[in-house]
Amino acid sequence: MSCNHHPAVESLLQHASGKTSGLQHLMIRLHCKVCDHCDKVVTEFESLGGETLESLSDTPLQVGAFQALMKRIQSNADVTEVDSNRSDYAHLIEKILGREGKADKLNWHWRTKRFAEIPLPTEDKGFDAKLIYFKKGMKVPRHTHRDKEYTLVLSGAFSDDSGEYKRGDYVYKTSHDEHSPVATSDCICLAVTTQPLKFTGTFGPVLNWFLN
Amino acid sequence: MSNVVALKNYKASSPVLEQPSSVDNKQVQNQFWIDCLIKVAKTQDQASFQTLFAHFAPKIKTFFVKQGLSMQEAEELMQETFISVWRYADYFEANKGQVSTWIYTIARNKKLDYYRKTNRQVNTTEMVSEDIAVDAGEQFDLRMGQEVTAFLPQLPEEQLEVIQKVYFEELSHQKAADALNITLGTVKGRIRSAVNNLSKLMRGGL
Repeated sequence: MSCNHHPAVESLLQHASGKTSGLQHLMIRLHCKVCDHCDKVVTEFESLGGETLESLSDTPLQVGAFQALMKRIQSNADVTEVDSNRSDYAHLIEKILGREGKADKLNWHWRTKRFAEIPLPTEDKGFDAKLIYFKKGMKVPRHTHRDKEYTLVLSGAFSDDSGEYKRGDYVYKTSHDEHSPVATSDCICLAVTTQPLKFTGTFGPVLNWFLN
Repeated sequence: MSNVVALKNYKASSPVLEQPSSVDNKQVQNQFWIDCLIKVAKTQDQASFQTLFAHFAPKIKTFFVKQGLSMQEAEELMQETFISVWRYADYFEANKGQVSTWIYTIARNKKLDYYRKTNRQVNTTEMVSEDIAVDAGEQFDLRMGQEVTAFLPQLPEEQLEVIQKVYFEELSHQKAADALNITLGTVKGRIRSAVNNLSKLMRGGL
């Protein structure tokens, strides 16, 4: 299955060359799990990494490096596996995306009858992350973004003036984009913002105070 | 649009840079590494593993040193990379490509893991997109059955070269300019053109 909304090609390049971390890394990695297209693009960029590796000069190893390595392998030394240390919520988010998660059992903070969220701790300075849950038909009041908002649709779908966003879609909005998304089915998203949303409708000032 | 035409003309007129023999050699070499990996996966063959190690380990150590890590850290992460090569040799999909690419991704992930554990900031490459955002996002629909097929060979060699230097060899724009004997402005221009072309290729063709 492929998606309609993708990270920019420059972000995929950054990702393939090991320059994305934290939330950005997580969002692109998860998008690629669903989007074969971007997954292939990243794989092709990685081949440049392989070629570069081949072209590097040799740095002398410590004496007996291979023997030391075999010793570690045979003693089953504890090695940090690539993903073993990642935060619990990355695992949880991956499960929701993989349709294995029991999302309704999570500790949702219901803000209205049809809208809930779970704030996520993040080490990325200047970024706020949360899981959001909108029930089918829920309309988020018209808003802009004080800075930037990245959304990864984990399940279900929502739409706004520019289109429909489904599972795996990677959506980017800036302060220039004003929209009022509507959930077209029960929808769970990972939302990362650099600043809280700014509501612009009639009740904007009240909502800004109430939700932020 | 004019850029697209210019690029097509460029490709049409640019000489073939790789002789068939070198492509063949590359394939033969890769097949050799694949055979080594298969032996490691199927029979835990230490001799094959050592052959891979002798070729790749000193390069991987260089890779980590270039990331700004100390000799000691580089040696340790090289070892961890090879422990994963040993353990996951089975997961390598021979039909998917180069062994060097697979080993590169393991090393890259070890680096990211290490950076996270030691609270280091991952060094990002300067973005050339107009929006200095982390990401400007792309929106496009793919036509049915549309596949990405090797699009890097469709980039002009001079653009590909700059992308490789800046993104994968960890050179700053200035250092890439020095290495290629071109101006800083040309480096930035080529990256911008490369990103534009890649973006078009991603959407399904120039």
